[in-house]
Amino acid sequence: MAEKKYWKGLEELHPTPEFIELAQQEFPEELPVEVMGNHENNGASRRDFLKMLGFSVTAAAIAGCEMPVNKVAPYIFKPEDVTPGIATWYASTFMNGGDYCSILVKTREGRPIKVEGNNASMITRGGTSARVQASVLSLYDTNRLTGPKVRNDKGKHTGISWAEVDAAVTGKLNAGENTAVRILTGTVVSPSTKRVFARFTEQYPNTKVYQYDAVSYAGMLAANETAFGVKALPHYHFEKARVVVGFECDFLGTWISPVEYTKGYSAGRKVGKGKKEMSRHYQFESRMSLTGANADYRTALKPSELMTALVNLYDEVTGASLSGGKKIGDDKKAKRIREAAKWLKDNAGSSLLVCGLNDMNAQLLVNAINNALGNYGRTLDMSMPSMLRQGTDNDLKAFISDVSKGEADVVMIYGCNPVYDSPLGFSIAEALKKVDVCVSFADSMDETSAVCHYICPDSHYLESWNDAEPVKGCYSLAQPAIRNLFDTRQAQDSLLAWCGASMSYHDFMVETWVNGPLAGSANMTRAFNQALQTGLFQMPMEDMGDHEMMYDPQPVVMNGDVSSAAAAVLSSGSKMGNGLEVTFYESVAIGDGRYANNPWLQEMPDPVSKITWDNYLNVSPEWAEENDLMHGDVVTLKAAGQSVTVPVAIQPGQAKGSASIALGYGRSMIGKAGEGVGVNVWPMVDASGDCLVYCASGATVEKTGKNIRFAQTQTHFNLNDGLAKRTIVKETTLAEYQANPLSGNMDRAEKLGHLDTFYPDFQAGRNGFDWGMSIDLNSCVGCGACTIACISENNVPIVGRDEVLRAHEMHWIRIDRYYAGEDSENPEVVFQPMLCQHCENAPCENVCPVGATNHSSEGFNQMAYNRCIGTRYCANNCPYKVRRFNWFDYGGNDTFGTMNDPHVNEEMGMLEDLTRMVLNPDVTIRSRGVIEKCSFCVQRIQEAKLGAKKDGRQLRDGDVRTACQSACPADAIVFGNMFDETSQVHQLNTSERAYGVIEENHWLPSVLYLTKVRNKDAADHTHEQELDIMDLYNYQ
Amino acid sequence: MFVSPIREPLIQGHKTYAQMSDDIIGPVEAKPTKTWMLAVTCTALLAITGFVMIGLTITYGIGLWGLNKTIGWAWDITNFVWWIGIGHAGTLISAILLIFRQKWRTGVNRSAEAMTIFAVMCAGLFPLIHMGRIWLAFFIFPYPNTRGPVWSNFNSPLLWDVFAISTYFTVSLLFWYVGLIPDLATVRDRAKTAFRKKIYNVFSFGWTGTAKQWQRFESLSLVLAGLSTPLVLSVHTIVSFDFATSVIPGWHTTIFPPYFVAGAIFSGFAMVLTLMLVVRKIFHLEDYITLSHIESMNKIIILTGSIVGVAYITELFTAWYSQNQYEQYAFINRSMGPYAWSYWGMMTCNVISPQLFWFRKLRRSVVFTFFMSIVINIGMWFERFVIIVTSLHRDYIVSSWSYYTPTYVEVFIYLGTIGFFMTLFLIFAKVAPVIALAEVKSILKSAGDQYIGEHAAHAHHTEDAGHGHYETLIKPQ
Repeated sequence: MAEKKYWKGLEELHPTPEFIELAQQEFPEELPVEVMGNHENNGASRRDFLKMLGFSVTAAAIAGCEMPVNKVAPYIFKPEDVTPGIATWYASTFMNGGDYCSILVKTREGRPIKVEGNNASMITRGGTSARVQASVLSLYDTNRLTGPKVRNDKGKHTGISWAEVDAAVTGKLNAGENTAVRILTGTVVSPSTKRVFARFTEQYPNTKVYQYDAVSYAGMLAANETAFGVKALPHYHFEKARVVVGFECDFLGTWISPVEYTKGYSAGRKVGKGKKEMSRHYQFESRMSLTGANADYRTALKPSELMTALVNLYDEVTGASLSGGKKIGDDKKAKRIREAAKWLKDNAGSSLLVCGLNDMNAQLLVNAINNALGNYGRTLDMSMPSMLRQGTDNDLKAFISDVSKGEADVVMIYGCNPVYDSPLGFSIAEALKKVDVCVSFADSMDETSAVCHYICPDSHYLESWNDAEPVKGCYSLAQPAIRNLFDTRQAQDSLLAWCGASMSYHDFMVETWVNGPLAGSANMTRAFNQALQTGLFQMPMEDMGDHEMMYDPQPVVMNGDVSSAAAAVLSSGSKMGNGLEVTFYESVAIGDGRYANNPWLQEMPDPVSKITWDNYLNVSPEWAEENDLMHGDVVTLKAAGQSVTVPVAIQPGQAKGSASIALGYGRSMIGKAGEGVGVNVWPMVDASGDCLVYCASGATVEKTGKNIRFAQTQTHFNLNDGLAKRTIVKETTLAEYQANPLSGNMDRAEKLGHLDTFYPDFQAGRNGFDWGMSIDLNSCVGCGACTIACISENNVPIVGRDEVLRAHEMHWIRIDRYYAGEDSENPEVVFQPMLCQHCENAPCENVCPVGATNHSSEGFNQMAYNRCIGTRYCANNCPYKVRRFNWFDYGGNDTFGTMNDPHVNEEMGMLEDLTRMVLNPDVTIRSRGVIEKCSFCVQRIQEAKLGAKKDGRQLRDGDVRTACQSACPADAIVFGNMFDETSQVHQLNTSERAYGVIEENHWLPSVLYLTKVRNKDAADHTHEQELDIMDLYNYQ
Repeated sequence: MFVSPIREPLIQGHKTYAQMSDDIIGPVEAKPTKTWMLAVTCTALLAITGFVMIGLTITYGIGLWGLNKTIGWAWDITNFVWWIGIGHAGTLISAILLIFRQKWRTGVNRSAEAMTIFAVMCAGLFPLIHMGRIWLAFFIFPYPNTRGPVWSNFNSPLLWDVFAISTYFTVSLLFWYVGLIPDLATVRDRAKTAFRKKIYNVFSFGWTGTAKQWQRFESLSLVLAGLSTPLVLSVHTIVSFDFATSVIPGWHTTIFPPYFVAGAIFSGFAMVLTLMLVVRKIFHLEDYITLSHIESMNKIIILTGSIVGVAYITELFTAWYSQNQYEQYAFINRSMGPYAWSYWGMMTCNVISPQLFWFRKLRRSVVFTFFMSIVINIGMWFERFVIIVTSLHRDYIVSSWSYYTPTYVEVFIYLGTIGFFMTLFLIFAKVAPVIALAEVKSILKSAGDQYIGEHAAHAHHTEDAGHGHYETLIKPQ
């Protein structure tokens, strides 16, 4: 039955289309708002218009008031190991070329943001270097390749998929019967990677792997092979050496494993309660290296003189006469050689001679000297050799000749950049043109990958599985701390895929370990997880072969013809002694060039010259004067048939008649930060012999008439008068210190005795904490790791060369470097880390009109960035000049937007989404116009307090470690609670050597320094008893 | 009252009251001259350039200036102190000289006070724009808030500055405007158009010149003079505290308050002279701003210049006597360091050159005085530059020593404030009498040349001498 239908009107009963339309509308009449949009009706009234106008203006205004909203997506299922706000740490290993460090990676919300040293490591023992600290930024390098690339006909690289690459490469590999594959790598420290090469060679038998190091140790490897039959580098124990003699060897800055050596060296140099002995360090070198700057006795010798000096030293130590009467320079220099020899002999068995020359004969002599002294098995060890450098220069040459003969079908380049970082770069580029398929594993476009057909970008080490064997029997593991950011693949995975192994590199690596280091473990999974958790595995003693030799005082058996080696050394020395001798060195920050695109490292002042963002020709002050050169004069340097235009830096300590210039600069293809910084001097390195010689003689220098200013964070000033008795640096000699621990610091009691005050005790009413810091000037070697660690921890902006030129650098901790003494060729050097001293009577605090900087109840000086209005009064009134002002919007977080600020360089990192991932979420990004400075890592203090509270215990000494402290490879920095009388910092700050900088003015700094003790004879010490005449040289 | 025969007449040309009104108000009534238009255009353009540069600074940051990690203040605070110093002459003339009953002040006080107001406006600009975050400048005021509440830091001399300068500006403005009222009323009374009459009527607050009004006017003037007198000493004392309470060698100096006050008056008088000599020439006011006025001001310049000189030498002595190496180095560096040129520039301009005014002939030379006034202005700018920059650029920690050079932005901001100042002064000179007409009239009978001096009619002299006592109560015209 049909439903009964009610109707209101005829329209409903017999609907017309108009009626239906009307009925479907909510309102019977058209709304004026809708009319506005409907221009056909043209029914907009003036009132509607005004309504709309009012509405839209209000809406726009309301919208404009709000800060832009960024989308935040919470986890639906929370990952087990990700708790927002809580850091997760992974043990891993930093490896880059031969640089090695066992590390802990701090991740926050899944992002690696900080690298710290791994205390469990036997090798690096918790230390780090600037390069290690900065490595986390390279993960977020905008220049990284986001996927595999193929080169098209026009020579341009375009994107391609991994499947296509795999098809192309395996197609080529399997095209012929016996495909010739040539793999060129840097030093490979990873045993599993070596196994990957072996597995690959199994599949493609005509495969050859060549290893070379840009900064080569081939001479040493060859000498050790000759002498001991082991082609490896010794493992050094600087901590056991009572005398260290260095020959052109920057073992604290760049040589082999500087983190490890700095640990050992500084341990041997520490003095304090119960330890009144320290090692003595002689250094003979041509340029002022970081190591030379720390030596007790440093002698500047030209490269040619160094050769003679080495033979002289051999004669002095062994009583031989291989020099044939040939002596170096003046008597003063010869005297130093005699002294060094005497000290070496007197401490035979606990002395150490190290030499940085890449010369087999020289290294053979060094081996002979160390052997004659019985140092093998004590201060250096060939039984557990270091694996950190394995490349030889002949390997590279063999590779070139192989490839240029057209013998290679496929070439793979892994972990190196030979087109740039070798004097043979040009011939390599030419040779590679003859190869059908050339594969690069570079993670970014560099000089070498640019000429390769395929680029199969390797993952960053923080995204990768890997292992390492830095010293025979000592293993460490690397694990990914983040998933691949881009479509990259580990080189090892690529190789495994191409040789048909159906397993991932991770599984392959586990296999290596199961059959290698862990073989015989009862519970394999547990053993591997344990190793992964600590990042380390140490072979049990009995597995180390003839390791007991370490405790054997007998000299090892040494082969090799020392006298012919000496003759060769002398003759190469006399060959070099011709005109200006220029040495080429790697800088502490940039290395062989592989770190050039890291703005943190580019902006790190060179430890000695304090110049950033440049390389330059170091010349001696006297030589500059004779040749009428000023600091910053641009010259044309001609050497080894090459010529470059480079500015001159006048460097005290550079041997007269020699000059030096850093390698690793002048990259032509690397990225925004590093491109075009400095000049490339790799082509000047001498590749004619078996080993690369990092020295060119007969160089000439011509003025161009131009003069530039260096982006130098510290300049030279002359304080050559009695007025300079400033309480900045205090020194003494070891003998004086042993006689009286207060020596060098005798004036302290008198200076502080004058400080009477009407005010109540600054600590009155305070309880719990009084944070303080101690910095040992005797331990600090000036390497700069703390500066970079601080940047990483505290989101310190990088400002770029132009801004550093204007003294706008933002570093919260800097290392001041002072020269002392009369002898400009061999000045004494002091390094002093300088950071906010957290004065209890802080001059900055009372002058701030808004109280933005104030004193915490725990004794440090704190900044409320939000309150700061930027008068800079505090910075003016800071006697230590540690306050930094945000001149521009360096952080990219301006209230008004960055407005395409032409003054902020995008490449400095803070403005790009990718690079901003490195920022520490615990530390505020400072806005333009506010002052910032060291906070004593207050976020770490807070974290430690919360941790202790959670554990229901008191905060213990050592719970809080500042970023600079934990980065320091020399353990120079100690932080803690001064109220806790058992704390290390309390012990140190109340010890005889403790003093505050300019403390006579009663600012009561919370940071105290320990006097520097030089192991020098009092007669050689250029200072008076109460010292501090800083005789700085004036070049400005 | 007896007038010493050596007193020179302060009004020349046998003026009658009517003539004085014509002379002084005439320029206000006349159409703007081409010279005036040209001058205003130039100075206004300069001012606009300066404000554009300020805009750039606020948009992009203080990094546009030449400051760096070591030198946090340079031209900004130099200019601030310089402008504040210039303002001091106005207050001194109107307040202290009023209290000391120096009749000669009547010829110059109006312009000097105007100069004070404009100079303080320029000065006040710098502490504002030198802030990194000017949009939060209100943080310095102790206002109730919900953040704790957070207060300003009353220990900070910069905060004291805020109060000192705002007080100074307010009192100076009041003083100047109160003095203007009777003269504005005169302009109104002489006005030929209704519009003009109306405007000046509003600005003169309907002044009719009754005895009661005059009495109140005089009392208020005295009260304001009383208020201003300590300000003359206190404002620059507080400005000097910015430096004196700090720890920087070269800043931390107890001598600063008197030294700064003397320096301020010194530079202020120089600026008054610079302006007055121009005004005098352009508006033909030689009869009212006489050589005797100029000489009086030059005498004050010798006095304050010598005080400043003694202060400089005392600083050197103190540095030597203290045996404090930081203090000693600060002064050695000042006189022999990289900024020695500014130190010796300052010494020459401020200490040596004013001593030439011991010669009466030079004191009374208009051209020489004008030249010297410029020299002193430059010298006093250098003084502040020397104090601020040479102390900061090399202080305690040798590693951080640095050098400062200004950028074009800073230079144009400074020039911009000069343009701003000049523009305001030119406008003022066009719309209001540059000489305090009422006050000058009040001294006609005791200081007009028909009454005293060598050209006076003897009879008048004796007669009027007796009336001098009531001079301030006589209603002119």
